[in-house]
Amino acid sequence: MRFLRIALVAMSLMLVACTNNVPRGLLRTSADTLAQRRTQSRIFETSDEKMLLSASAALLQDLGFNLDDSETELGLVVASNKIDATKPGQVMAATALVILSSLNRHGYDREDDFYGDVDDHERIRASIVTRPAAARSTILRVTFQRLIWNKRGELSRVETIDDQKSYQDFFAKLSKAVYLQAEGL
Amino acid sequence: MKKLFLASCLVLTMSLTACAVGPQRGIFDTDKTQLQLRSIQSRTFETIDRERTLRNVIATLQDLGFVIEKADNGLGAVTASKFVGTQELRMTVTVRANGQKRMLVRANAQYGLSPIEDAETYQDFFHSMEKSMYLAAEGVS
Repeated sequence: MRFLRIALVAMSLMLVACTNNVPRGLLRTSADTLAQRRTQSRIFETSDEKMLLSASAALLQDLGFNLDDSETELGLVVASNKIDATKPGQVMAATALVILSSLNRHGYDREDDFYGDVDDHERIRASIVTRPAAARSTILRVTFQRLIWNKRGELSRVETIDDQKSYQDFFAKLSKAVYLQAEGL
Repeated sequence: MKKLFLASCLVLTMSLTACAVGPQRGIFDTDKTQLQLRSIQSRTFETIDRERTLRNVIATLQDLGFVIEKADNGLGAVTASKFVGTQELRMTVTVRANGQKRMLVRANAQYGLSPIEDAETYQDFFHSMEKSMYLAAEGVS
């Protein structure tokens, strides 16, 4: 009887182990889809998509981004930049852990590589898409991704940037860039 | 007791190796046939405007939280990615004419190291696309 139970457990474990690990509902819209769309989009009173894309590319250059790809016929510009991601708080916490570890073990153990987990650099990817809207206007939507590497050179975190302030700051700068572009500056 | 210990060891070994047995999956192997995959991953739309369909694909992907990486109007292809936890979800969608009055949209997605081959996920995508097309037609920004 006991062996029967074990066999059943074994079979369940094998079935679980072989289940496809792709979560369900990956491509379903969520309740905040519209809110996100509004945060990431602005309407510009022009039907000149190329001018908007050109102004966006110029702004991205101002912000230190490099262009990765573009397709003006579909209204797309993709760019990325690489910046220092070191945070003083993380470095201090790692230093504190090293001190605590050396006190505890009477000496610093090289295996306790606390500094390896500290953020080193990050890459921000920006994707700008324009599309014609009603009444000679154009909708511009931007999305940002952040990829962070640690001191060991491992990709430690990835995220889509979704805080409103980043988008507000970007659009404030973009409005200026569109004005400069229109004025030929 | 000894028998029980041996049986437990066997169970553990079997469960650990359950997915490792058999020949390694080849580069061009898929779980479904080519025709099954095409049918799951494709949908036709009643439109003759290829560019608008591509733009709707882009808008849908953005609505789903993807960042558009590449787009090619000549080829009719869009590639985008998003992060789900620590895994990358990557998708390529192509649009081509299907007869005189229709566009065929084909999507394929990969989650981490696994290609997505279940019908439900693609149905969700096409459903999202229909919604996005409706919103665009209604002028919702």
